[in-house]
Amino acid sequence: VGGNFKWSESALVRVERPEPGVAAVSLLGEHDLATAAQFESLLGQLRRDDLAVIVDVTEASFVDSAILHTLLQARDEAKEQGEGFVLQLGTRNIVQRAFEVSGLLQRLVWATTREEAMSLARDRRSNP
Amino acid sequence: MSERQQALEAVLPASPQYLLPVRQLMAQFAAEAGASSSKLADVLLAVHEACSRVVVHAYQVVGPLHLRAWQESGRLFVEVSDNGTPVADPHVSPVTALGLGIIGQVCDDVDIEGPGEYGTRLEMTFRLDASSASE
Repeated sequence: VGGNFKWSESALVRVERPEPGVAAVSLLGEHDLATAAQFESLLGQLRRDDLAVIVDVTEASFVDSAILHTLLQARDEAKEQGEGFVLQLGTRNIVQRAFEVSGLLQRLVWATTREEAMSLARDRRSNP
Repeated sequence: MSERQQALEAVLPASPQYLLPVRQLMAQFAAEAGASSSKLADVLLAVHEACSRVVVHAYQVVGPLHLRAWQESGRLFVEVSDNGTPVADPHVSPVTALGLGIIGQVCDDVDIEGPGEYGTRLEMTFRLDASSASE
């Protein structure tokens, strides 16, 4: 898995492999109930490939409960598998706010830079 | 000033692809009502989750989603309702539970009627003069 995907007119995703064993999924634009199934399926595929995952929402302009729930599920499944699962969060107002008010910042491992996210993902991978 | 100003009334199909147009409608209305950018974020998060609940829970097949918004006494009111029949299983899905949690956190007041014979009505109130107002 790698490359850019267009899930709708307003929802794009970029999948990169910054280093062996780690996938970085960047959500761009507006992600909600309409694209949550595609997101879930992508994360499932990465899990089957035995990869630690960074989900980067710094370029997202909207996320909703369906996306947040998908992240929680993926986090649980990564935990069971002993894989790292890290959220990379920016300062984009509404997306940051969604993570704050839903309580997800207390439930997910997160970082504000790619370097920190990579280091957390590696950590979990070698020491789940 | 304190008079009720009706401004937005829309009926859309309760289907996922209409959630983005709903957010666009609300963003324009809330901005025109004078919402700050942080208030606008809260309005969009709450209204989206209320509409999302209708999309997921109200109908077996696609039915109407009613959206009304108005401004009164420095507050923005948004009503989201459906004509769905009550569902047999009262348990909300984990996604909707997360959504209702978000609504509870970002609104200044929330009023829910139903689900009942005539569907569900959710009214959300947002203070437009909240903290970040600079004038």
